[in-house]
Amino acid sequence: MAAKLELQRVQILCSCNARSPITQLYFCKHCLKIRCGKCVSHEVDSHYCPNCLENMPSAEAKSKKNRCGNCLDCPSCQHTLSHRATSVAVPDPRDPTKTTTKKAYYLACGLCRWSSRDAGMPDKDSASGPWLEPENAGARRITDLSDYYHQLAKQEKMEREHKKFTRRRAYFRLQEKYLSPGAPGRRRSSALLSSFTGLALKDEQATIIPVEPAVASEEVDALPNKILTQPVVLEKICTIRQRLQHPDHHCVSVEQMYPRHKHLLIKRSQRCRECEHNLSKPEFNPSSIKFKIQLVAIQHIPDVRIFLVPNLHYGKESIVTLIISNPNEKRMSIRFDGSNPKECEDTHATAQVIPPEDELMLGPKDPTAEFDDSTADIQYDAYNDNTEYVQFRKAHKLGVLFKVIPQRATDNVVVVFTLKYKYKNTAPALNSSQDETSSPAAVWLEHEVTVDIGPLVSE
Amino acid sequence: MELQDSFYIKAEYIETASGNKVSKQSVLCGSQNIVLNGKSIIHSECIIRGDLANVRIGRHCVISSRTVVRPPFKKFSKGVAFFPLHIGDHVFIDEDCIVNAAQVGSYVHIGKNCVIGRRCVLKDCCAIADNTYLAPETVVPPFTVVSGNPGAVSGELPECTQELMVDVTRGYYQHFLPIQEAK
Amino acid sequence: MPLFEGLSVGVEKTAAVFDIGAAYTKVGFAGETSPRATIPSKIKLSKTDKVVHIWDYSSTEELYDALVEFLHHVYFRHLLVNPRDRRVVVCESILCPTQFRQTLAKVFFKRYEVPSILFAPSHLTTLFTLGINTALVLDAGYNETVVLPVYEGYPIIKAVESLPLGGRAIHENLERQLKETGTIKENGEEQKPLLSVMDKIPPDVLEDITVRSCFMTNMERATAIQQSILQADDSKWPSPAASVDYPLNGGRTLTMDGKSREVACEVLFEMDNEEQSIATLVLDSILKCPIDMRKPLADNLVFIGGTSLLPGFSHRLLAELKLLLTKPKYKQCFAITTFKVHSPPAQANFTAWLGGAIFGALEVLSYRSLSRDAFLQTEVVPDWCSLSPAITEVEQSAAKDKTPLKSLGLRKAAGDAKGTPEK
Repeated sequence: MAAKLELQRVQILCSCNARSPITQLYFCKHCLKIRCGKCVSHEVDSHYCPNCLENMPSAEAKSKKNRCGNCLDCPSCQHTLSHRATSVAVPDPRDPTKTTTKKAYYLACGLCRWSSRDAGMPDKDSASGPWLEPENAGARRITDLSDYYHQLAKQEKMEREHKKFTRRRAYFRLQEKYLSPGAPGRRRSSALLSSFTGLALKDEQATIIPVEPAVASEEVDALPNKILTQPVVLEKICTIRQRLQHPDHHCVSVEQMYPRHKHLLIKRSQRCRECEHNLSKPEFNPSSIKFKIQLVAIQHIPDVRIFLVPNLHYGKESIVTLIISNPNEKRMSIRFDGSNPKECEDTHATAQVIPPEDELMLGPKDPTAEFDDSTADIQYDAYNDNTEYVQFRKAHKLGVLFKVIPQRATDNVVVVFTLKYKYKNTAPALNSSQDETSSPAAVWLEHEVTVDIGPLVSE
Repeated sequence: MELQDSFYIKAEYIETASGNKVSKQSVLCGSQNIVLNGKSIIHSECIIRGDLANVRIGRHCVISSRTVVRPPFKKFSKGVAFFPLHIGDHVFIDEDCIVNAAQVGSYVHIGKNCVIGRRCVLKDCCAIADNTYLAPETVVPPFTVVSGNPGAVSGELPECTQELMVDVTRGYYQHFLPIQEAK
Repeated sequence: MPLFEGLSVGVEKTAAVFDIGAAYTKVGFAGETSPRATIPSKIKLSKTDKVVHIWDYSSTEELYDALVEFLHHVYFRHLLVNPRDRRVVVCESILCPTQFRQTLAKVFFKRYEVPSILFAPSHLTTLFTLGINTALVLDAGYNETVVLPVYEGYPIIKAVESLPLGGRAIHENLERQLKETGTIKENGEEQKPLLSVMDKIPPDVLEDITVRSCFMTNMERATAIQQSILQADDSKWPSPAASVDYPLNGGRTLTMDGKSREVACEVLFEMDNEEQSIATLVLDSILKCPIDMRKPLADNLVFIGGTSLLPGFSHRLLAELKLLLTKPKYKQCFAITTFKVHSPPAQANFTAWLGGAIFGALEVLSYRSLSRDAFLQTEVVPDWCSLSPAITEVEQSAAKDKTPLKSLGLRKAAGDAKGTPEK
């Protein structure tokens, strides 16, 4: 949607000197600064399954390896599998001669028509309950190796602890004094690599249970002859993407593919890096679009949008209309500054801009305006708009006239100016609690706006 | 860019009491089963199949030209049954789409040329990119962007999506102005 | 004190293990038997909406931006954990460029604030999956094939050998073959040579064709094919495998000759002008090692890397090695008669990752990792090829706690107030 409104043409400089459109920015009302996605720290808030939209507590997600318990993915196209039921005729347990129908459940994909029967999985009796998953052949060997190395690591750790205590003795201190100049030298070569060598079995430790080292064999599987003779049926061979879904098993043929449980998605919360306050915290419920905390820039700083762009000629002054909208429900005063800011060496500005010099007032945003059709009756005379700068005024929006002089014959016309606005800090700041008692202070904030007005009209 | 005014010929659109603007060139079958909650715009050559099941469309929705909105069906052993289709508020559906979803939430943006498979569920605040094919019975979680064929989650939407969609659809409605046909 | 330390280490969360390869990245957690996700090493940049390869960078800034977005994608779509809580193990090639390693460390420490990173050479971590201390590891990857012998846990760095022959070379060779002999059939029309329809085959199509229909032929056929090519005599060519009809987008079918299927992978074994192939890599590497090491190394070969998953790879490589032993260049230097190959308990494309995962689950991980404080002091990742002393061990720096540098580091750590400093 942002692309539809072409919101990328207006970019705002955030506190880490990166430019982003206003939809991607946050506003920290404790530091009174604008933050972008790069200067906040992202944190995982909650896990949920994208199919059943069920929230999963993080402990359960950890134990299930971030996979949903109920939903399964088709191994062939990664779409969600649906449970289908058929009735099968089964001999009645009480009376062998009669047959009764029983429901048998199997999995099927709506998109590629794969079904659990293709993998040879037997039908289940009940709709809920676990589906058979094949075992990992190498898992046991890996756990054996792991345990062995754990023992070695524990031993090394104990040695280290031992060393720490025995270091206090003077004898060792002397030794260290003589050894230490050499120590950096010793570490000079392959410091990182040699650090791995510590994990080797030392002869004194007889308590460690050794693991069977791998045995190399001289014989390896030769190329199976059927590759040379048989025709290739591409549909039966797994693609690389399908193979990568099952790292535990070596699937070459389509019949070996098993469905996997659906991977979860997360909800993220954002936190300001400097003051550690949360800038955005979503609700736990995956279906809900509400936020517990939502400090997005679009609700706090005035938005700039391009409205009317005349034909732009190189070197000639043109008047561009930009719409500034007020996010608050109270009036807001704004000012502009068209002079280039000091750190604009990498300036993208390809045109000189002369914004209005006066201080302008933005009308309040009326949340009931959607339901009230009588907006045409509002009188704007109270604002005393200077027609040199203001083209029109509508509810909380103001059409402001900017004079633009393109400085470069090629490229798009890009202007940079500073927008200053009076912000009423509604959050009680910690350090001002002694000075202010009731009314929050209104401060002038400013940020730099880069507007891509459009291409030049060629002469 | 602020939305520009777009004009329509007054004679070609019907405006209802609650502010809905429906093109006369669109086909609304079973219009007694179709509920438009107010200030929605239905462009020309759309087809809304209210004859199959109830279709409820929320406020400030925009359904662009040549889109087909069709309630999904489900096969039972005893035949076929059609399910009602609910579309939430502030939904923007672009041109040439085919929507067979079971439910479309609020603040959703569906791109051009999409095919939403049958019985799909699109939750609030999601977006479907242009030229996507959503496989049947897909669930699209909130704040995700789905694209590709078959549709898979390919991106995220910012937190202010709800405000943005409200702004766009409301602005579109306000800028959708009638003109008299030039004789 | 030691009691508390034991407790704190016991509840530490499992480390995240990354293996950022040229074609695919394997990510997962330590202590598990397989990576959580194997994803292509590409990312769609949000600024430009274009897909870039991580390893295709022309400047540090480009690499930084790509890595920031890539790791964001990895952490929040695949691993689903907070980067701040987990230590990181990165399995990398020993020949990884310093620029890449530096930028990666910068992204991890500054942007994602991980507590520590361990850069583990992938050839070394492979040995953890086998339980042995000596092996000659051949990593057949996408961009290059690297051979490194490891003896008693020590990598013999002077004997490292590499060639830019890997998956990419196979794809390019396949493309050449297809451009010569491939035909395309469009919607029922007759077969047309490939070049008349398209001038470039998309890389994912090449990859798919290689994975599904190419194979590494055995020694007898290979020599016969070579003879046939040299003498330009088609009759000498052994009966080829069946041809493959590969469906392309837009209703087209690409017909691939059976000969191309076999010959595509030959690029790995063709001796170029310098008479090098991946088989000579192994022998040259062994030659550079001291004499006593050669036999144990030859008895402990390990093949890892995605390209080694091609059918017939190990068999052909062993046959080539045996043939090369008879050549005069290697004959006089050897008493080796046999080569033995290990089979790790994991598939070759993530064996290095698995070794990193096994090591990452150990308590000694913290002793060998580069901590965040140490990095922020110097902003330099200690490299095996750099001469400055390494500040890897926390204990070492704790011993020098009176120096102003260390107190500066402590103050900085307190100012950051993120993650618990290692103690």
